[in-house]
Amino acid sequence: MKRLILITLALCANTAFAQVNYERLVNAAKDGDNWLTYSGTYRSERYSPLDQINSGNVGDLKVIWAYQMQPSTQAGSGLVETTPIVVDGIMYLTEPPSTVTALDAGTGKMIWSWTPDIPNEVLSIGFPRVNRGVAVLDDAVYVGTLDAHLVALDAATGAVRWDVEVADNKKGFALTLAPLAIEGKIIVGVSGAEAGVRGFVDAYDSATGERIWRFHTIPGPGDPGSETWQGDAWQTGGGSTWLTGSYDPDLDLLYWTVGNPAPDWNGDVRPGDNLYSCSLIALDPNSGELKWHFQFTPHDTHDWDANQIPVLLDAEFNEEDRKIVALANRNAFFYLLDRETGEFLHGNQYSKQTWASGLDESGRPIVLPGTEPTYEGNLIWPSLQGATNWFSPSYNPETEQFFVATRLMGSVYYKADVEYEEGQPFLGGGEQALSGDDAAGAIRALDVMTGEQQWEFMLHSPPWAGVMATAGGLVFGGSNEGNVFALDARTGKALWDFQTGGAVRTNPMGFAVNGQQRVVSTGGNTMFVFGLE
Amino acid sequence: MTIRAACFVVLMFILSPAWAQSPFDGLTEGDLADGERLFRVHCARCHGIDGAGGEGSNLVRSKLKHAADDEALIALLGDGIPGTGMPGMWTLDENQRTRVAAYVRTLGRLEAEEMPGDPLRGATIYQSSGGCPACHILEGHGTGIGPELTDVGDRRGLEYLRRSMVEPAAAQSQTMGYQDYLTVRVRTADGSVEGLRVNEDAFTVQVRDIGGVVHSFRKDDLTEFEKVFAHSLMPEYGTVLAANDMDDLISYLMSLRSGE
Repeated sequence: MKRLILITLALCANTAFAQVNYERLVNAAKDGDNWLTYSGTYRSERYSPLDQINSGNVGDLKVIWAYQMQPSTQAGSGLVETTPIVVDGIMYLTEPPSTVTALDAGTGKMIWSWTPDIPNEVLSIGFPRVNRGVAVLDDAVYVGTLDAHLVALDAATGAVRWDVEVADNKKGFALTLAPLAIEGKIIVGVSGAEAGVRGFVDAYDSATGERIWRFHTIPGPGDPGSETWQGDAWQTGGGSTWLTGSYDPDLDLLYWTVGNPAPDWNGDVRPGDNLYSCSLIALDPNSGELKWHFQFTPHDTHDWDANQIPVLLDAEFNEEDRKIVALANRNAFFYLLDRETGEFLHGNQYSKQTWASGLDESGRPIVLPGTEPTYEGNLIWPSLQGATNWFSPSYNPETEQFFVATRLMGSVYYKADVEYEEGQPFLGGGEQALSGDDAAGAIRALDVMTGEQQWEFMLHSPPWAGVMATAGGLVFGGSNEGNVFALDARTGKALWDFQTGGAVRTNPMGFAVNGQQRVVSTGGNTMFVFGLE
Repeated sequence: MTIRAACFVVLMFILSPAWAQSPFDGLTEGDLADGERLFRVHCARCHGIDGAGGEGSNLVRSKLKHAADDEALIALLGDGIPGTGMPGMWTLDENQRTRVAAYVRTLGRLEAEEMPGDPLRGATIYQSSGGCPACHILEGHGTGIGPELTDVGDRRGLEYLRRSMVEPAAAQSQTMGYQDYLTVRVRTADGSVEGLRVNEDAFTVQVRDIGGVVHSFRKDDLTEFEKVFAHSLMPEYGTVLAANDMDDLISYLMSLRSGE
């Protein structure tokens, strides 16, 4: 009997829920069987070190199990953008708009599911009702909700530990990003620039939900950067922070990206560079103090949020070891910055654009005349959805390749007069995209140190899905037409594809369970888990 | 204010009891003019500057197929129509959508376009010298190579129909930017197929040939894959029909409507 009890306890220990302390998160790169943060690691490489599935056998990949989500029937709901987290055989994912579900990662069977009570009249101005995933820390799971709450759930049961309102949804604030968990803190940003909010990044005590600091991405009067705004425009200046950032535990710096200034397309009402819109900011995670910033698109008028994944890497640049952050921006340029100082190291165009002749020595774009939106319409590349968007790039540190899903599409940009009204769209124009046969997509491989394209794999349409490289020499991706595929990382040649029957709008991720490597993607509202056996 | 907007305001006044529950209550002349301005920016490219249709539906109608009432029309402007080329206008707020919807309703109160010919005679041409049933289905009859023409008068404008018959290669309809009836030519080790693209993704393409047979190919297996954008399988009817026959045929097609 005693032996039976011991076996039972051992089994319980094997299925312990989300015991993810901070040290495990720091060392996530060495723990390929699990996927512990939104982008896999604090460096946001979205790289799986597993190689059981490789270029020699990927053709045998098959569906092991699938999970069908039940999105809300509200208009605009139903887009699945989640990246699951996997911890010791349990998968935590979100379903639109803000449900959290725990599944047995071996079988797909549900462990628990939690859905917040979100008002029917919830605002989501300028974006669909989506959620990109959770964070885990210790024995809790953290999720941001569409009505702008941050909620901590018990990892074992889904019971609510605490629930705080981050901001007022009636003003247009929402949380769609996966939070980032660091030591003792949960970091979140907000959506809402299309409603003219004033964006910020927040840190909350992981145990209590108490807010520790807030950094406003649009400086107020007297703050550094306020000279880039005039009048009261800063109050409705946008700068939302709707994508998960990266973290360097050694430098103890957070890297977070900032979205467009508001209103989007009519810059006449907000003269100046409009800091820190369309920027990467480095924050002290203890105080929220700004350490440095780099603005990719000063005075943006094309809605080119900088909400793309900042990838951290260490490499030799000009014969000097540098700590680098790499980012493929929505504005069609690829950047390398020194992540200790924010110094611009390198930049080059990686996708078609018609708005700048290049970057100057400081990385500032040299803007061509006549490229602003107009009342009559002005055709510019890339479209407002950008050369890429929120969906993740991937970086293979072994081969120093940077993979990015690229959108090849232009737009006719319109300007319109606009006045701010709380809780209403604050846009100042719009676009008419050159879609369909006039557009395309591509997965592109760049040499990370030069930004030079090594190969591309063409897609039928501009993608809304990210990529994941693996140690098996593969790059996984997805398409609007429902394809999930694996490319040879050396050549870009397609080695395997699967038709899911629905648009893929997620980033691939990977893990292992019971000794078997798994690759996860979605199609429509269904999540597919692939493996060899 | 345009004459159209002025007529609408007068109509609203005259019919005020019937409009008591309308979402357009309280709209001013300025609102209607703004609706017209927004229509020209966001809608005119597909629906025509006068709303009489083009690639998009003819909106000069008292009833709209996908909008049973005014509230439905406002909602449709926000949500779009799934499976069609009509996108949701998320960049417009509800007030703007209401103004656009009100303006669109004024279009339906206009006189319909004057037809250039005799629709009864056009019906005969459709079946005989036109040879249209060889490639089009109308009320269940014909062969479905080109678009179905039942209700085509609802979906297309007069000038677009004329252009699509005279210069079919230049008047290709699109759905979400994709040419609906794109001619493609593919070649494999086993032979070649020419037909219309039915569907396509990064790895496969599906083609319907002139006999109506659907072929599916892996792109890896193709030795040639050509998309012929400046081409249509539709004959150029300007060289086939006399001018008056063309007018009669267009008048017939424009009379093919439902829901009124």
